Amino acid sequence: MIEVREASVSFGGVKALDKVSLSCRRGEIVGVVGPSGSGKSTLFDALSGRHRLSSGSIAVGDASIAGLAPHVIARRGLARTFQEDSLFGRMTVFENALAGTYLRDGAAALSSAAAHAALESLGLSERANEYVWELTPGERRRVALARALASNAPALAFDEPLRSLDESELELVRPLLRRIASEPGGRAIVISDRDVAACAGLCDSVLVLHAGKAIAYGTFDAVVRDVDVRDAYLGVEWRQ
Amino acid sequence: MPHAFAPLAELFWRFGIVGLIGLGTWLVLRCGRVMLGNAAFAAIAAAATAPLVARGTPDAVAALAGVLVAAICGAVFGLAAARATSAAFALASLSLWAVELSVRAPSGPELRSHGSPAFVVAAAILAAIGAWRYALSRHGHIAAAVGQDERAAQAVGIDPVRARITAVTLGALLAGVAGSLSVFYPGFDITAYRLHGDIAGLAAVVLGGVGSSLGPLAGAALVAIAAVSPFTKEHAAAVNAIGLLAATIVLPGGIASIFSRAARR
Repeated sequence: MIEVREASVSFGGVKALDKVSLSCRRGEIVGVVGPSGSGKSTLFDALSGRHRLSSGSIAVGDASIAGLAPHVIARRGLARTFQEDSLFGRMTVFENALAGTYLRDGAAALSSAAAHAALESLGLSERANEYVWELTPGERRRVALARALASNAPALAFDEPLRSLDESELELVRPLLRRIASEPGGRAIVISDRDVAACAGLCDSVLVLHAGKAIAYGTFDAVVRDVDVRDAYLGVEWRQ
Repeated sequence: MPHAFAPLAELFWRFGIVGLIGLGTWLVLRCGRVMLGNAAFAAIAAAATAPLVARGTPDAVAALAGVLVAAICGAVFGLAAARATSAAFALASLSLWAVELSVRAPSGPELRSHGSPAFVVAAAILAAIGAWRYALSRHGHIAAAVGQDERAAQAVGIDPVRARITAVTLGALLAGVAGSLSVFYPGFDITAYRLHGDIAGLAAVVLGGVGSSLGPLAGAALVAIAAVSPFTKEHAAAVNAIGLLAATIVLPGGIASIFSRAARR
């Protein structure tokens, strides 16, 4: 569903992403892990057409998305969230979720139902008529997820979706992501996080980035045992 | 019209014309861009309508032709400027001032204009209702999404360039209605659109508030009063400019924000 092959992104002479590959099929969740500046958001921006690849390729579904505008890629079936919430700040929670349904072709009533369903799945039904500026950071993050889920896009890219969530929110969102990926028809989900532990029990495979390069890619257990990952990212605590 | 009612008629004319230009500016602003030259489309419509009226073309046909020409010019400007950043778009819209300076049309006395302000007031109110309905529609929602966060809008499949071209075209169409109807104003003079129309339209939006389509009309009422009142008539442009500055600093949400805050309480 999402195929990234040897993707590189350069800004002038700086390689922000250097020959990174990943594959995410329907029903799978792939975690992209790394500290700030490791290239996670650059990868997500390349996936959604915000950055042009200097080499390599990205395909969503069966088609390459090279050179396509972000809104065209969204219509091809890739919905994303951002590291910052990027909500429509003067709209209500419901209106934000409704905006996600613009990727669907359907009647207004169906769009409205899809928006309500997405909000309900993220425990936001009771806040539907509030403006997003009235929400906590965790609730804002959930609204961003609801907007993407309302789209019914088969491919989802969530940039740090678990950030700002408290324990009870994590207990809601983590199983929801797993359920969305594995429900009939399934969706391909790529998530990013700074903490590799966030991928435990959630991701089918994990890609670890460091300074724009992939230093490990495999199952969670394999990745946390990888010597390069331990040296570059996990540090002393994981050695012990 | 009896002389005693002339100031009242002028008030209504100005309210309608400024309200329509302001509503057009509001539509573009909602889409995240500042339009500094929307009065140019009113001037274009007037310049297209006035010669037709002078030649005896039926009033409605002449007015519709003027509106159509303004909308087409708006679409052309939109196509050219929709990809520009916020600052570049505002600067590009300044180029429309050259249009305001260069268009010519027969003036009121030559046209022997006899129109009623009722038409332009009705057009402004209908346009505000239409803009309000538009804001609640899917297309209006899309325009607001682009204005509030273009990146997020693209992520849900919205083409911001297309949304902006639509907003500029609709804005030009509304200004075109103002321009076409203004030809029937007994004191019609196309040079009134030179800069004054832009400042008045902007002042109407900022004073009234950008949160609702009723904002530009509320602001237009204030601008029209300032233009007609014997106390401020001579310095109407300066009053508009001071009002614009004061509203930006003291009441960024405009008059409409006072009502919306009260309603939320």
